[in-house]
Amino acid sequence: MTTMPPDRWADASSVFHAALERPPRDRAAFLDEACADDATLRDEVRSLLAFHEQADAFLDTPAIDLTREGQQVGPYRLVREVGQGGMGVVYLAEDTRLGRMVAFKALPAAWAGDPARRDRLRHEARAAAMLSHPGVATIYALEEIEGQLYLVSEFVRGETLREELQHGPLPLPVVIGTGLGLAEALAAAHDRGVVHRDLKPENVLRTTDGRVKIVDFGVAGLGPSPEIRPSSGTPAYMSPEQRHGGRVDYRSDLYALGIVLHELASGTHPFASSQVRVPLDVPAPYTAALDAIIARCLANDPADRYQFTHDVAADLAALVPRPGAGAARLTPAAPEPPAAVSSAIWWWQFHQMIISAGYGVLLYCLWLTRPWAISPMGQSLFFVALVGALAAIILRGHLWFTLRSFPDDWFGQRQRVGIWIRLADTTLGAAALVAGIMYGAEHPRAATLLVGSAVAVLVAFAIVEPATTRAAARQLGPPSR
Amino acid sequence: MSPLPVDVVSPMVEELYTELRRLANLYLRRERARSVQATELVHEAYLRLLKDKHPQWQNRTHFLAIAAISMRRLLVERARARSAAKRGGPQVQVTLEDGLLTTDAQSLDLVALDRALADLSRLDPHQARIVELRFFGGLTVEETAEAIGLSPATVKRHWTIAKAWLMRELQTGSRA
Repeated sequence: MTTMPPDRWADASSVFHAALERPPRDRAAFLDEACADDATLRDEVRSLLAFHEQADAFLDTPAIDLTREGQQVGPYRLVREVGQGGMGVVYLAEDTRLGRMVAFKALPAAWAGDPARRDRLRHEARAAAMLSHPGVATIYALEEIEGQLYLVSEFVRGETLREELQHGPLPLPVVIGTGLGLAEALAAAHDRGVVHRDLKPENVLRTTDGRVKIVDFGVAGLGPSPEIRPSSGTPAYMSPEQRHGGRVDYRSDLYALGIVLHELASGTHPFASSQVRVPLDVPAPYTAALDAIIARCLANDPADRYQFTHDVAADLAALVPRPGAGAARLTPAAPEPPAAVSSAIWWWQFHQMIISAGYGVLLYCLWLTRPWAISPMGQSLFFVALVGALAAIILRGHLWFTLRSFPDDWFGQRQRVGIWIRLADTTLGAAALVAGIMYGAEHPRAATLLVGSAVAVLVAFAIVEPATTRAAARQLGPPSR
Repeated sequence: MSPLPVDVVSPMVEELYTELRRLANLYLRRERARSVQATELVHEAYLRLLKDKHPQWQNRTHFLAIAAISMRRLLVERARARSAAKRGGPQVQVTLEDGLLTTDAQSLDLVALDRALADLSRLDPHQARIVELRFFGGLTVEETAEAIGLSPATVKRHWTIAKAWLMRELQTGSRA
């Protein structure tokens, strides 16, 4: 049944749509007016409008079900939908090449079409993929399949902090443990220059063994740039500099961490009701310490926040309940002011410098006393001591810089160079000892000094240094893999 | 992306249709009909065609647009065969449609819809194509717009009136 000739169909279409734009009760009058001299057209549109009312869901479900579950995208087989992330639907998928389960995320179609953003995404994903930390869900790949971008990362079984927050605030020990986990993961990322940019409870998963894992590192914040970011983003977790399109660095993550910590402890967003930060409603001994950490994270000016992510971790670590202090109760960190937290690390650094300076002085003494030795013994002895002292100083300097710049690598580096430092120390100590014994008869005072120094060196590296190093190691937390 | 020219589309439809049909029959023979999903079928066809390295198959929207036409043919052909089988005797085969079609589509007379769509394409080829892409190909409004080179708003308007027209066509057609 075709009531309209094709050439009249366009008219019918436009009248139909014009009528639809009017409220239902005005439509009859509109039709009479619009089709005043054309009864066929009017009847046709009236009939279509009537069927339009019934045709609401008609044909809206496609004949075939093209849900993506079970679908194969490149080498990935989608198993099931596991969540709706900020960037799109997340699937549990199987990487059929490697036979492992992965989190599979289709990135917004617009991202693939924008070469600048795609390049940036690739760059960020590459940096983030280098991250290997138990607190970070590792990015495996950024795939481009059929002109669509997909982010493939470690699949983390667990609940998001957002889901946990639905049951209200978390117990304080859990808040502190969670905060410490987040700070350590952020520190590991910041050490490598990777900034998350979109830290929020939705982007943190707690695994079944209680650890936290941050997802979408470096990539989550690469949506539309902050200035044009739609409200579907999460301005609530953005730092002031992010909101205003300023320079975003790792300190923006610290701001977001402050908000998350506040939310975990109180169950509410710090700026939920007004621009005034709600003080934490937590047991008195911890209020000050935790509140101070949060307040420092939330400083408007990045320069007023923590300048070293490891410091946040250290401050939080100081609040962690110690064994033997009672299972549920926290040991207040009040007697230990936050400044004292990194004291062990400070002592280690101080110790390294004192040792190096001492070696320099010892070397100078050996140089001065060189003519007393039976030639050419003196020259050789001095050069042996020089090599030992230089090696010891250079290796210590290396560890010192590693601690300052790449704290995560410090453990590995210490393992690697520790034996050489000890060898260098022994060499220098032995040289001083031999020299002291050699000059003993003629220059007893200088000899005593040299032998004393040698003993001091041996005591320092055998007893004192291991102690300060162990303390510093404890302060830094367990080595990350 | 511009829509594909007709002389490129026809051989592609033919190729995909043949592939879909072959796969569908294969599934039926293996009596896997109950578990086969449209996605599985379409994707297997897609992967096979990709393997042959036809450059025109590389784009997902292009592929889905072609798949829509092929799917329409496959589904209507099977619906015809099914009603013929029903008339012919008691043994109604386990059909692919049980697993393939969504519940909504199973209650539809696909043969009548196919005929109505042919009529609609004489009134407005764009509208018929939009229904084909959306209903038989499962494309979203945005994908449809991309596939035929119209704006999403225009696609939505065409879709609304086409649905009303088809609804009337199917209802008055079944009454007659």
